[in-house]
Amino acid sequence: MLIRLLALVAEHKTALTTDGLAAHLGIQARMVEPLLRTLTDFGYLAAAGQGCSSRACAGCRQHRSCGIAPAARLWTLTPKGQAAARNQNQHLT
Amino acid sequence: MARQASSPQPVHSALQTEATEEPRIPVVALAGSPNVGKSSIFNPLTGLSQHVGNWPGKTVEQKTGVCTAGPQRLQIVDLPGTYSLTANSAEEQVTRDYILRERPEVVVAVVNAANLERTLYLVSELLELPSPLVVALNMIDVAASNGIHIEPNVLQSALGVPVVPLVASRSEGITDLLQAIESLLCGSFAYAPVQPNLGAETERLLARVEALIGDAVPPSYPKRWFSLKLLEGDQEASTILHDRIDAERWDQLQTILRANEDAVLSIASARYEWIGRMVRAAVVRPRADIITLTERLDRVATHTWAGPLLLIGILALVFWAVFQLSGPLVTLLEIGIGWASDWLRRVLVGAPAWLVEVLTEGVLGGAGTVLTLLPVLAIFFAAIAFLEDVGYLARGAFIADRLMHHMGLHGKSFLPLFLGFGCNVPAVLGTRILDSQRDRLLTLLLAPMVPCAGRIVVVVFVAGALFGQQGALVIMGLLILSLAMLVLSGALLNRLLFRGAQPALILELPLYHWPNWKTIGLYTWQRVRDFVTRAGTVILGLSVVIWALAALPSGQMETSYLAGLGRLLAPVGNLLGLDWRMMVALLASLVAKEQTLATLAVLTATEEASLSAVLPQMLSPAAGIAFLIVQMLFVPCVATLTAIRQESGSWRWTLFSIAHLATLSFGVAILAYQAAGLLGVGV
Repeated sequence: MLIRLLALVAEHKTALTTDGLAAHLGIQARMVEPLLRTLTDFGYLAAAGQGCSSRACAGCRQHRSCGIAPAARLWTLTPKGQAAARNQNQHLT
Repeated sequence: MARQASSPQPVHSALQTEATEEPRIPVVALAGSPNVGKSSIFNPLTGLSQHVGNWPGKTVEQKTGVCTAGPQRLQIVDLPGTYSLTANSAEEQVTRDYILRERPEVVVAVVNAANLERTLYLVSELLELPSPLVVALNMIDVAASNGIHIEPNVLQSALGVPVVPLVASRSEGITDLLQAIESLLCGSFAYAPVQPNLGAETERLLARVEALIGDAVPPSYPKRWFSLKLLEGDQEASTILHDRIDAERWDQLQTILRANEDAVLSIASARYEWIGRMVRAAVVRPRADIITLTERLDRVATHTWAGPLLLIGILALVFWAVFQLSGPLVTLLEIGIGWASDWLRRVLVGAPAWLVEVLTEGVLGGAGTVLTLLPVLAIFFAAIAFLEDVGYLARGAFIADRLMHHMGLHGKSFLPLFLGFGCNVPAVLGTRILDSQRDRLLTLLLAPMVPCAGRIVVVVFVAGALFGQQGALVIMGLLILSLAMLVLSGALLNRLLFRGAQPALILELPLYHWPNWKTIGLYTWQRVRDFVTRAGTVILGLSVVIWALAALPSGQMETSYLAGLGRLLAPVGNLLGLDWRMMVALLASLVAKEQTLATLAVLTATEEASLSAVLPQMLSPAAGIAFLIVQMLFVPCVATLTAIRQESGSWRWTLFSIAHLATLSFGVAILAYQAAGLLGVGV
């Protein structure tokens, strides 16, 4: 399930929503969030889009007024995630 | 497909202490994810006997207490909230160390009945630990109100452990929970936990690891669990083992782990498949074909072609609303500034002429004119905050992601770029959230091309003054041009300098909801306050400097230092139909975009007419469009350039950004003006 998820993200050309992922994987939409958390915990995905609450912005002078709160939670594949997806795709071909 | 524990767990083994042979109070640990209601169970169980402190060596809160409500006294320990036992956080570390080392007589796993998928992962891990488990199915009322019906008996049979439905917030089911704990303590419940089946391949791998590490596993850790953690890449397990195993076996183990570094994916997948089976067995949900409002709206908002059209429509609506609503308010403020200027002239009769001029033309003419634009900014920021608050902006990011891929970027870059609509400085600083240097560099070169609020203010003002009611269309056209240039530049830079492609990203779209007016008001207020602060400091100061440069040395503007500088720019200005004052105003925008208007107000000041009345006399429609194009695409303000230098760590890229934007802005504007001349339109 998790390997399929990684492979799906790696193959996809544009953004996937969590609902779209659930449909692709044939699982309940509410199951996706824990899957993403687990993949993040194990270093396959990186969470981003935390806006001014992220560590990257912590020391920034504009921290308080730089604008819009995070519009959405989003995740991207880490190099480890990309490698795992590549291995899976090679395995399948 | 589930794995039953090899033998029933010894429940009573730890009930007596070796030293005294006195029966000790059985310990019950409460485990569960954050906000699942553990405290609501802990409080009625322990009443006033609670003790709050910290876990040894950690800043994680420890809560313990004694329960006297059941047939026997129980020591209750509230463990920190965790979703799993991966030891990624202090909370997870405390929870698993406590259960493994202290071996509580019973662990109560509190799960959210309304969201079992989210909370059963921890249960799947707790089942592998030696302490017997009770599952407390909390928030059963919330689940029912969501149309979710759960069969506790079915879940109990599937898990092989006691399952107790609860509404802890109303203390409902607490007695049943105590009875379930008691049934484990006295051995009346046939405890037979059904653990996830990890699959034949993983089981073979586990057996190899277990055989290899043998007796090196510390006695407090179950060998199977310890081996699983090694396969999951657990650092703590690895460190513990390293000190207890010989070098040869350590090397063999590392070879196995390296060859199976993604085994964790199979293990976690097996757990989630187990969760799926448990949920399918015990949970009845509302019909899946009932479509929510969010799903209905998203069918349009995220549709392949309807989505982008809607995004363009919404942006057009925002700028139309900004233009239409702010117009009368700006006119009122202009009249107010005019009155203030007249009043100052009357009050300062007899004062030195230069002082009267500096206050009326420098201060009120410059910074005052910029302040008249407050309604434009307030409405713009309120509109953006509204879109964010109702949940639409996330859909915008989703749609924009497709454009981003043409530039070799993904939607992650959309977030810093979107900040650019407010101010380009945070947009540049926001590129820190991007992982690779390539992404950061490409995004920060594109960030100044997003029209910031300062540019939008100038464009709204000038377009309104020159084109009246058609101004909204002009603004929309400029916005589309600006974003088209951004995409084109991104695609070219990606093709020529930053070759690369990005995998997709995953976006969680929030539910649509009614706007929170307080949040919108607070956001708008913060931005307006920042703008007023800037108008009262940087813009005011520079307005006075520009007034002085326009007056010195002879008191005549046509022979002033500023006119001399402006005439140096005349050759470029001629290609655009702009006189030296317009060129100086463009240059002044390097300090702050709003400074363009402040500078024009100072340079065109008359007692009879405001800037909006003077502009149509100075500019033909074609020259006005050329001026607006340069304004939209020109080199950003100094603050943004400083941020680009800081974030890129390179003067070379900073100068590249300046050259790129100067060439692009003047190039496109000259092309537009000259084309209008050739066609005889608006010249």
